[in-house]
Amino acid sequence: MTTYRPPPSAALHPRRLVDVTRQRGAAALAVAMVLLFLMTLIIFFVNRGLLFEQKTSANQYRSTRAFEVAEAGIEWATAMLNDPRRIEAGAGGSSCAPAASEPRSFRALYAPSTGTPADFSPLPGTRAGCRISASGVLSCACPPVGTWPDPNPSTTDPSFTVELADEPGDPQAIRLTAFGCINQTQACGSAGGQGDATATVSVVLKLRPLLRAVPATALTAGGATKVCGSLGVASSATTTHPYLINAGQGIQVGDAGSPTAYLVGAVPAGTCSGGTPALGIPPGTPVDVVLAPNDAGLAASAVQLDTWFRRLFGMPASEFQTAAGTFVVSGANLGDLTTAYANGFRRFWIGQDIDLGGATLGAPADPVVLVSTASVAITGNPILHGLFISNGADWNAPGAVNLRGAVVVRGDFLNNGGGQLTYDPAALEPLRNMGSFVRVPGSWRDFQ
Amino acid sequence: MLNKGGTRGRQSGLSLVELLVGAAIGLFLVGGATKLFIDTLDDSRRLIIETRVNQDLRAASDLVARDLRRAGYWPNALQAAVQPPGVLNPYSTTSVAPGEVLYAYARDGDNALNAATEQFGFQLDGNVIRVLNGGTWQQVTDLQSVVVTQFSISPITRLEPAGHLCPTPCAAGTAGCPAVAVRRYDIVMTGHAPNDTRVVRQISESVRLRNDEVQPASCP
Repeated sequence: MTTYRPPPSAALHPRRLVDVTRQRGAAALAVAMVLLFLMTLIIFFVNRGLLFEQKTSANQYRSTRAFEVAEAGIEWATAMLNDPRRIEAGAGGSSCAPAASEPRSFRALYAPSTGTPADFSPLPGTRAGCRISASGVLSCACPPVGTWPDPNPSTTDPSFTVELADEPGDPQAIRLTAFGCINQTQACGSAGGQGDATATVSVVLKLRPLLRAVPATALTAGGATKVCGSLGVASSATTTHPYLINAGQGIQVGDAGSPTAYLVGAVPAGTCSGGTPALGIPPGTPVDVVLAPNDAGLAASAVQLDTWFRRLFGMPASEFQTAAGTFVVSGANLGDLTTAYANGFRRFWIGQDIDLGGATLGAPADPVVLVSTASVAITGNPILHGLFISNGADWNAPGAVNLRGAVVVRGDFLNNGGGQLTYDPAALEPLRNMGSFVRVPGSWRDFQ
Repeated sequence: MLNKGGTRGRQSGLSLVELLVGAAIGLFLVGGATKLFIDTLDDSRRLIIETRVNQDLRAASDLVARDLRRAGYWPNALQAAVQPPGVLNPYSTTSVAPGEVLYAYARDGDNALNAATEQFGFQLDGNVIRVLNGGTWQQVTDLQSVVVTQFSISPITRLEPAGHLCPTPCAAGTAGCPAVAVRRYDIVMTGHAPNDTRVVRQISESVRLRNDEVQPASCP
């Protein structure tokens, strides 16, 4: 026998019908709850679709990012190859940062070359690379030849490594391959360094020589040339390059009053003193053979800087100025120039008059090219190797220059100082290897 | 909690008012919940349709972007870089017609364009994006999930004069004077759901062709 015992809630209710109404309410509640449950299921289902989309877009994002990182690697390596500055490289502190105390530039380290024209032979199994932080800062590693960069697993920033290889058939071309990785824990491109996404992009780079021709005489002037003082002009290769001076207008060597003086054509007035200039010519050879005054073609091309530059070097002057690796000296600051030289720059562009003082620029197998759109003066005793190009020249006592290579002046060359100017093919030939690595159109690929 | 027969006998039924109020509350709850349920169903249906249209268009545009940027790859590219005389890149030409782009890149080492394996393209044909691969046109999108109504390709070409680098310089624009064409393609794709024309999605993308075109290959 069961007796009705009202539930606790019903006990609060004075009426006995409470049970029936409770049951009706419970049914509605149950139906509502079932509907709500279904709705929740649907919301989950919808979110499942959303989650799926999130997943696919995340994959998309990662693969795109890896690809962009690999492309960044191509740009980075191209820029590094064209940066003449010496870099920190090697086992310790290999940050790829410019350092004047280091022996080699990126190009000399990873794509060493021999001969003229240069034959580049990159060493396989060597990689340099960078990580890109969230704020876009590169932290790079240039490890010793034959090794890969330190993986630095403490971060999972996207990273790339680059590898250079010989491109068969062309000694001046190299193949640059960049590997981009996302969330890798080992060096990108290695078997364990796959990370979440990888991309491989490669291009062929070819050296585009900057100066396609070098002068054939020790001194080339668009205007007149007046060699005074005790300057000696000679050629170290008299059989192949016998000419010493080529001028658009007159040439004067020595004081006009002196019996050994040479004077043909119009030259600027003014005293010519300070000693007796010497022309390095084989004994018994007439002076006329090594001097070429009144060169009409030369004078005509010297009217404009661009035609002048193109005639002598096969390229516009602006190309030289804007080329990667040309250091543009600010103002007439010689310290700026010598600091850049110490950092590894070998090509200079100067827009103002400058006095080279007693600077040492270039070495026998490591010449420089100096282009000035103004005048270059020498008052000290500089030691120069390479090609010196200026709009005007005024070399005065007590300066005594020691120059091997060639001097090119668009206007008049005036000298009253001393020293020795020697035409030296050995100091000019390496200039043909100067230039930028440029991407060969058609060589880009991101597939095997 | 339900009572057995004995106890039910002691209940005296319920009044009409109670029944009506109870039914009204119940109906209100059920009605509201049903409305919510239907709305949610409708929402999710729309979302799925939109997602599908979006995904299909995005997948198609990615396919276009990823393949089109390879146009002009040529393993013997150095043959054009040496001078004289340069060889013209046989793969660098692309052609654009309304709703169609054709391009090529090398899959072998020779200098002849093999139409069956090296010619690629995308086109809009009967509201379907199709890809030219292996010499045949294949569908990329599915009419069941998206109806593509627009596929426009606008080439944007910038000519970088290269004549000043020639041994005998030539002015840009003169006949036979080489220039480097830096090419970009702006692609716009529009599509709608097959059974709901209100669900319209548009995707636009810019593709920079990595391999520039040099024409002609040699200096005058």
